[in-house]
Amino acid sequence: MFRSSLARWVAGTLLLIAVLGVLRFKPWRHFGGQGSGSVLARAQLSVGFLPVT
Amino acid sequence: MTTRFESQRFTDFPTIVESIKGGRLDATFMIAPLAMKLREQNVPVRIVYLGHRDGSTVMVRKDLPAGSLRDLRGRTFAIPSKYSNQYLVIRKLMEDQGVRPDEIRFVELPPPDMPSALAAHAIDAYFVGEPHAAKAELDGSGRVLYHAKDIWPHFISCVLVVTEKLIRERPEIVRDLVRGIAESGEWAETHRLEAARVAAPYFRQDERVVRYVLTQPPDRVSYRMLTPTDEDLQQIHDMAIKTGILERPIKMSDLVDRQFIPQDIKAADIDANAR
Repeated sequence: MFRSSLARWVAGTLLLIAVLGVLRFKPWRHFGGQGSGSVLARAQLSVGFLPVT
Repeated sequence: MTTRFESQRFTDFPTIVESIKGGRLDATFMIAPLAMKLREQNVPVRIVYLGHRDGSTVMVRKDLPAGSLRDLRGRTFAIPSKYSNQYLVIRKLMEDQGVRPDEIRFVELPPPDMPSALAAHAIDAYFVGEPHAAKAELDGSGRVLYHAKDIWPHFISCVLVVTEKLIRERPEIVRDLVRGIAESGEWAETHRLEAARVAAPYFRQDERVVRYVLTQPPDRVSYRMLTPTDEDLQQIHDMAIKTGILERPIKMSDLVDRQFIPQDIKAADIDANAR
């Protein structure tokens, strides 16, 4: 497997890009509810207010 | 999917407007006529709910013998903004009492600065949402001239505004937000002392001040009847047109979206001791 050094380079680069992609988009945040109960999928919204009633 | 809501505290309304226009904020409480002004400027926002009713107070310096607006002729009167319902209501009350618009000098002040300005005699009176009225009452520099509920029953100050983009793309979040406000309001109605404890850090006020607001008298501010009716908003709209705050009429159907308001409202399950 990967006798050619070029093939190893290409495979390595693709693997690196895939790992960086996973780290960037953090898919476990979207599907965490199926695994650990402490990492529920969450939407977030900031709501502005002035401190008057 | 659960939604995490974060409160973003502002100290003035122009910054809120810029945040909405710049796309950095999709939901906020703001004074009702200002929401109408945004709509007039074709900013794509909708009023989806109210935050409370009543809860605004006209304060005067304790050493002034004023019994009505007639006695404030020639005096300096602070308002949160000319786009506030407080300003519109005062203008209406002046008209009812035969006081001309130029007989009282209005200045715009950030609400948190009003009690200290009154204590320093920089202003003679102000009309603002609580707790910034109660603060002057408790520190002895001011007294109540009118509660908003006595001038206009079920007075509206702030409305909940969301962008049409949020409604279009994440309607479930808007529904969650409106339901949360409705249910926490219902809880606050029946747990006023606990509500003061929960709310004080958000207002950055002494709990004693917030407790006073929620109990003296108990109907000083209400968290029920939070559906904005066409009649409510039309009345504000018409006064805004009359005073020149709005330059052209806007249709209520372009302004309000009531689809997210829950039919049955039960009190939220809030632990006031949780941090």
